[in-house]
Parts: sequence; structure tokens; C-alpha cells
Amino acid sequence: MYDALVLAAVQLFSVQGLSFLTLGVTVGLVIGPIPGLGGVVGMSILLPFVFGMDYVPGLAMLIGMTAVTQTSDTFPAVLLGIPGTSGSQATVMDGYPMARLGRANTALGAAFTASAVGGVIGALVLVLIIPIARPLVLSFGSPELFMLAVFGVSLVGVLSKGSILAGLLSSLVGLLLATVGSAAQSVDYRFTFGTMYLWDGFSLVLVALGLFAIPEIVQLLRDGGSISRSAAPAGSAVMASTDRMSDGPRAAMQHKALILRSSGVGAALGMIPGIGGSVIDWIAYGVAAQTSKNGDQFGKGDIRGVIAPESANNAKEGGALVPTLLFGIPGSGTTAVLLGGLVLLGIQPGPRMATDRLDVLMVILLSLVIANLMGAAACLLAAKWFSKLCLVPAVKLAPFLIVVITTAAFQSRFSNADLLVFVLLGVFSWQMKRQGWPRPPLLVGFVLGVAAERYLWISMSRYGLEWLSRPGVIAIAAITVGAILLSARRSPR
Amino acid sequence: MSEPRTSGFGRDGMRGARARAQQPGSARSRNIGDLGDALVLPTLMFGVFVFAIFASNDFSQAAQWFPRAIAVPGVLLSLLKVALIVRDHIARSRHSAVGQSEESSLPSAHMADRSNETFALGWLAWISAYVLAVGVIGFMWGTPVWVAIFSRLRSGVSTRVALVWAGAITTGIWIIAINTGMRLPRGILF
Repeated sequence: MYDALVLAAVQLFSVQGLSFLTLGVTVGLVIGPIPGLGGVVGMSILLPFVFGMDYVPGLAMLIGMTAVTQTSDTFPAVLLGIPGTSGSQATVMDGYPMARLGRANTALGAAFTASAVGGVIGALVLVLIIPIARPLVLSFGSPELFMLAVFGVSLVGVLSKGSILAGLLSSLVGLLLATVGSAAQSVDYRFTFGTMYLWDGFSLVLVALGLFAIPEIVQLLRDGGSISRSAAPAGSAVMASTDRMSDGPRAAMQHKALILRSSGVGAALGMIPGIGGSVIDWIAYGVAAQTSKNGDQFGKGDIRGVIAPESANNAKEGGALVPTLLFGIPGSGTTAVLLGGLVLLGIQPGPRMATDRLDVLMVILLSLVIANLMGAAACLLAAKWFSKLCLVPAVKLAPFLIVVITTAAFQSRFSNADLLVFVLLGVFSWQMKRQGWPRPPLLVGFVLGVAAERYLWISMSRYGLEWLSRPGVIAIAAITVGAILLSARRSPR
Repeated sequence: MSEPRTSGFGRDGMRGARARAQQPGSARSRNIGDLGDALVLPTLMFGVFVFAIFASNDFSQAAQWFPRAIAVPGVLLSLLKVALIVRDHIARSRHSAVGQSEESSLPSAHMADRSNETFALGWLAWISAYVLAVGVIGFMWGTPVWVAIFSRLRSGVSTRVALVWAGAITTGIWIIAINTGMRLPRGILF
């Protein structure tokens, strides 16, 4: 293993290797903050270039892009309250309130530090676990995946902020929205009203943008002033005097245990194909809120609410590579396209990867580590300038934001119906916001709906009720019940 | 805290009459407005869940169980929510609106400023107008026109700056779209 690591380092630290790694990182950093785009788009842009390329620079470029998309997507999540990709949805919960309190620099600094550490931990987990991952991944059947979906839905209690009933209703609406379109287990088209547009259901990007972007922009415009509304004199906008970029990494380092825990959650869940990368940051956020002291501060601009999802969503990239490399099963959308890239580079994923292609594994490890560090450093440098967006008056920022989010919404199906759904969801979620209804449970329900239905159906069809006695199911059920009880105990009411 | 009773005569009576004129009527109408507002979401959700139950009758058994498993508890929970809102409203009507618990299910804190709500609807209308413009005349025409009008009328910049801003945003998004494979909305007309 040591020889392979040295060989990979020599190859990667060549001019060619580092140049292509930097190119991949640059594309990832540019793609990440643009709402509606994401790792899949970045991968699609780079894929044509890897044909005929040597595997070291090719891998470095693809892995570099994958690693940092989840880092730079924090900018719009923290500064504008709009998730850049599906991986930064939970970051909005505390990142945006921090920006509004004039602590954008601290939030961004902590987020990028947590992202870098999470990404490195994910890479280490990938290399350490791949020799023993086979039985672990194979032990996750449909019943366990269904129980993980149930665990995700159980986070509604945490995400509801005291409005449990409203949170439950929101999550049910999300679950129902997820049933729109073709049913997985039959030839039915559900709730499509005869339109082809709804055959594939609603896209996650569209729902996330409608739920978060429109209400936040309307709120911003209604309140007047700028995003940063720190203790500033009326009519002016300043960053809080204590808001320094260096405070972010310091704050992140004060929560080392949280970073480790969240990275572990991210890497472990990333390894499981089928659970979907979009929900991992929510789970990390929910686990952090449930297990941290003063968990009721989450959602009000708590730095821990930024650190937890950010470390998890970067760590998951390493975890998602485990099934991709070991079985050829992609753990996320991005790794699905990456799989095509690996084949183009002449790399055949499979169980022998851990023994016969250690060189490839080490190139991936080093690329992940270096890309995460490069990405975080670049974002930390750029954050100082980006955070000035918080000082721009909302009425001047709004035209740009509205054009960007509308264009992003259109990328879902490239149909004008996207725009209609976008506005309808926006009006609905604005009503939710002004009535104090929690919106994250709706998104979590929507993300988990398809998986919950599919895996419960398969479990019942294949095992009857016997799946309830599987050890994995019992273990996840116990964790879920424990989490709910812990949440209820910590609940203020 | 109940309203102080006044006879309607003399100095105290005048004060009481003024107080009645100012408070109870407007408070009552505001309360009814708040109740209607608070009922919008649970009522809408109730309707959606009921519709889902009936619509799922047309699906095969394999496809109908999950929507039903969601919609049935959804109907019950939305009814419960409506009942709680009405109960809180009645409790609020009995007592003065002042000093109510923050944990009430009637979100009075969110409805405190009606004029702000009107502003919010105005901003929603601006966003809808942009989406409509893009849907009808396409991104390349709708964006510069809308951005220029918005910047001039709402952002308070000069006409020249508004035009520059409109051109810059449109060109910027167009360049990103070309280089990333994004597609820009095409209107019905153009």
C-alpha cells in the first residue's frame, strides 16, 4: 500500500497531474454556487475531455471537480439563503440566519474548514474501508434502506422547531409530492392530470428552489436594507464588528467532535447506494441538533448548524466512491457519471479494485485530499469578496437573484411548466413562511418519499413481515426510536 | 384581561366609547382575518389529501397504497390542525389579544404587520411578472426588459444604469449558459 501511495504521489505531483487537478477544482468551484447546476453538470462538461487521457490526470480532474462542488455551493446557501446544490440545503438553516445577523464571514470560514476536514475524512474512510466494505455494503438490503428513510423522516421533530403538527403535515405533503409521476412498482401514472410533464414527477432542484429561494427573496425585499441586518444604524448596512474570516476556522476547530461525528455520518451514509445524497446533510444536521447541547439554538444562526451539514456533505463524496469502485454501483448522481469516466480511462470498477488496482485507489485518495484542501483555501480567499454581497441593498441585488433562480428552475425539465410550478411552489412556501410553518420537513419528505415507497414495497414483496426481524432493521429502528426520545426530551415544550 | 366596562357617559364614558370604537371592532375583524389566514394552509392541505384519496382509486393496488398511507393521516392531521386553530381563536377572542402566548397555534407574530404583507404580495407579483415575461417572450427578450423596468422603478437607479444592468445580467447568464450546457427559457412567442 505504501509503495502505491508513493507512486501515486509522484504521478499526481507532476505538472500534468496538478494542472488537470486544478482544472477540475476550478470547474467544480464555478459550478457549485450556481443554483440548478451541480456535480452531474460539471462531470458532463469534463467527461468528453478524458477520452484518451492517461488515467492519473484524468482521475485527478474528475475527482477534483467532484470533491469541491459541495464546498463552493455554500456561498449562495449562506449569503442568499438559496441552496447551490442539493448538498447545501441544510446549510441554509443556520448559515443564512448567521449572514442576516452580520456573521457571514464566520459562517463561511467555518463551513469551508468543516468541508475540507470532512472531505479529507471521507477520503481516508474510502481507502481504509474499501478492503472490508463488501460485506458491509451488501448487508444493506431494501428493509434497511427503508428503515434509513424512516430515520430521515423521524428528523421532522428536530426540523419542525416546536411546530410538530405543522412539521408532520409538511412532511406528508412532501411525501405526497414524491408520489407524483410514474409509480416504481406498476405502470400507473399518478396525479399527472394527463400531462406528460408530470410523468417523471417534480425535480428536487425545482422543489428546493421554490421552497427556499422565492420566500427568502420576498422576505429580503419586504424587510428592505441588505442581507446583513446586524446592529446597524437605520438605512445602512455593516457587517458585525466581530465578524472576521479567521473566526470561522477557529469556531470549526472548537467543534472537532461534531466535525468528526458528522463526517462519519456523511461517509457512512454515502457508502449506501440508494439512500440519495440529498438527504445526508439533513440527517447530519438532525443528528447534530439532537445530540448537541442547547440543540434548540439550531435554526437561529448556530455555527454548529453550518459545520455539521458541511462536513457531512463533503465526507459523503468519499463514501459514495466505495460502492462505485467496489461494485460499479453509483452512490450518487455525480458518481454515476464518474463511472462512465472511469470506463473511458480504462479503469474497470469491481471487487478486485482493493487488491489489484491500489495505484488507482491511491490517486483517488490523494486527489480527494488535495482537491478538498485547494477548494477550501480558494473559497476562504474568495469569501471575503463574496460576503460583500450581504451589504448590497436588496432592491439592487434582487433582479440578478430572480433571473438566476428562474433560469436555474428551468433546468429541471427545460419546460415552461417548470416556471409555473416554480412560482406556485414559491407562493405556497411564502404562505408557509409567513404562517410559521416549517419548510425543511416538506423537502425531507419529498427527498425520502420515492425511496421509502420503493424499499417498503420490495421488502414486503420479498420478505413479507419477516424483514422486521432483520438485525439491521432492528438496529436502525432502535436508533430512530432513541433519536425521537432524545428529541422529545430536549424539546422545550 | 377583559375590556373595562364603561357607562358611555361622562369623561370615562367618552374614553370608553373611543376605546370601543378603536379596539373591539377592528380587533374582531383583524381576528377573523387572522383566523382565515391561519386556516388557508391546513384547509388547502386537507383538500389535497382528500383529493389524493379519491384520485388513488383509479390506480392499481400496487400504486395506490402509498399515496393512501400518506393521505389518510394527512386528512386527520389537517383536521386536527384546523380544530386547534379554531380553538385558539376562540380562546383569543375571549381574552384580549394582548399578551397571548407565543406558542399559540395562531401565528399572530407573523401577521403583525399587514402593510408589510401587502408589500410582500407586491414583490411576489414582480417575480411572477418576470416568470410570465420569460414564459411569453423568452429569456433573451424578457430578461433585459424586466430587469430594466425593475431596476428603474424599484431599485431607484437611473435609466442608463438600469439599461446597463439589464444588458450585463442577460449577457452574463447567456455566457454561463453557453459554457455549461444550460438551456435558457424560450417563450411562447419568441
